[in-house]
Amino acid sequence: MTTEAGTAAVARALTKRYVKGVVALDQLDLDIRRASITALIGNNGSGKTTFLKILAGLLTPNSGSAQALGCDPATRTTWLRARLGYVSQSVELDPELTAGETLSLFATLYGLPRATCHAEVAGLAKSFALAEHLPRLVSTFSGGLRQRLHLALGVLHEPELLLLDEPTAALDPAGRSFVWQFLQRLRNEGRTIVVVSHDLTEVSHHCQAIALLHKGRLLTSGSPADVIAAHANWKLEVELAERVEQNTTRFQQVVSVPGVKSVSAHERRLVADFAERDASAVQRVAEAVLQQVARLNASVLGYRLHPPDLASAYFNLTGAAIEEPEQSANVESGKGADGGHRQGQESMV
Amino acid sequence: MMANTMRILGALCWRTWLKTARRPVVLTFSFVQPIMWLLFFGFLFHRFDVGPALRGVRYLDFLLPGVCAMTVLFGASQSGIGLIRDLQTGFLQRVFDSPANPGVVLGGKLLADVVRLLAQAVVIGLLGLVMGTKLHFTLAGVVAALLALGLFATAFCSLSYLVAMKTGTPETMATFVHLVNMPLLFTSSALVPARQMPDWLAAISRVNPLTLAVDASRNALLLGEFASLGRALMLLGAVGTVLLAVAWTAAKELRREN
Repeated sequence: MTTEAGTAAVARALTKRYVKGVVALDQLDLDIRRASITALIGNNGSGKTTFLKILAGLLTPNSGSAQALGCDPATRTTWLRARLGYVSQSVELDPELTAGETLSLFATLYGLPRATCHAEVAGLAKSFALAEHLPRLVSTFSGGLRQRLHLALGVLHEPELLLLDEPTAALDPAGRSFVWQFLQRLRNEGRTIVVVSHDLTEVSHHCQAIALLHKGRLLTSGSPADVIAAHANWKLEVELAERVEQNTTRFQQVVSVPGVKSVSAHERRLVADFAERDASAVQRVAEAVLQQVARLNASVLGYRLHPPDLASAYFNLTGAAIEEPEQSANVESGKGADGGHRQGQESMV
Repeated sequence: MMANTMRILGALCWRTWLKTARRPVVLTFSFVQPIMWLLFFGFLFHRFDVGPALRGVRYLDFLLPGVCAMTVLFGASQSGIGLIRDLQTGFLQRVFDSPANPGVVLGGKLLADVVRLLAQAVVIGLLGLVMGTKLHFTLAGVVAALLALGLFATAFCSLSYLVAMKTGTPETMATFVHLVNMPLLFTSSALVPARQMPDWLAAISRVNPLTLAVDASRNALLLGEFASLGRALMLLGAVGTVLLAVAWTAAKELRREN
């Protein structure tokens, strides 16, 4: 198998089993486009990190094959090491070195020319807002600073293929924004980025492609817009005046409203998933639902109509929202399953 | 290619020295321990007869090259602890992720540790002179002693790295240090000449690498004799080469498993 032109990484029938029979990847087929940011999303244990580690050559598959930049990553040749960057989920730094010493050491390890090494390290430190922290020991860094340095080391050698495992997990909003902007810049330079993330809002905004993994299999892939169009639906979230029991049958009649796919109620919230995807029809369905709720003698304090988003597609495809009771709490707090905020995704009606 | 390898070697060597310098307490204790041995043993056994071959040599003079070698042994056996810390923080895995050859990665640390241990041995030697020991100092003698101690340091640093990479735990390293240091010290000629030992102990002493290093540096610095130097350096070189090769293989395996 050779990597096709325009493809930076390929997986074919990729299978990885851990000891005790845990199947992390099950016949995974996936193409990663060059010069794109591709997000790997999915529940914990869906195989995202395993796939990333196989591409980085850190794990060997049991069967199937993987290619990174046209090479078998398991060979981990010097050529591939120089062109591939892997940034793990855990921050791997030496606390007894300063940030400047750490960057200089890795610049040497990656063979950056001596003449330009100092300038490149200084430039990178500036890009990652680390310049003023260069003389400080890593042991004195905050979690966010460590994460930035960790990430800076991963891109120091300007890899063609950059593999990132939850790079924004420990960062504050400003740090997250910075990282995504930086990745966008790398992508504009023609580099390929594969990123594991649980933040579906960030993924929707910044990635050109997503791959949704579930129990080691690929559920869907494509651009966020395509995935949303194919798998997400509108939701009506109704705030009730009274508390309702979870799984109460009282509101099941709402499902009979044409265009409604399912209904769930918990605490003071009732959420109706629409089967209807046409925006104009959605308003009519929403009004019909509200009328039905009123007929059930429930006082409505307010409501919100949520347009289709990646979180909705994610839940529909993985079934996670139905299986996990905390989903109701997520809707209540205005967060997606990833814990990310939904600002700008919902419209008040 | 070669220039880049040397640059990586230098960078990793410098990193090891920086870390050593940032742990002044550990560095201080590495000097205190041999000085205590020199003081206690040196004066406790100052009437000890070191035998006819060394007639006229005081015990303190006899002891100093042994304590210098002991300093190298103790430091070398603990040198793998740095690798365990690097394994635990994930830093070593990250270094192995780079295109740098694992042999060069190990070589950089080895170079730093061997040079540090030799410097420590020199400082102990100078402190011994301050305490009144008399050595027969010549350039050839100093070079011979440093060569013997350097090869011994290479062997035992490599062994310590091997244990560190294979076990990855500080507890195992502590056990290794205790298991190796004391038996090796007491079955060597560092404290007592082999001729003064019971036959069985003298037999063990003859195959003990520490004896080779001690005798080579003692003969060179105390007696100005170099007759057995070639054999000692060859044997120490062979032990060092084998242990370094095994440690290198372990580093390559670790990088592959990384």
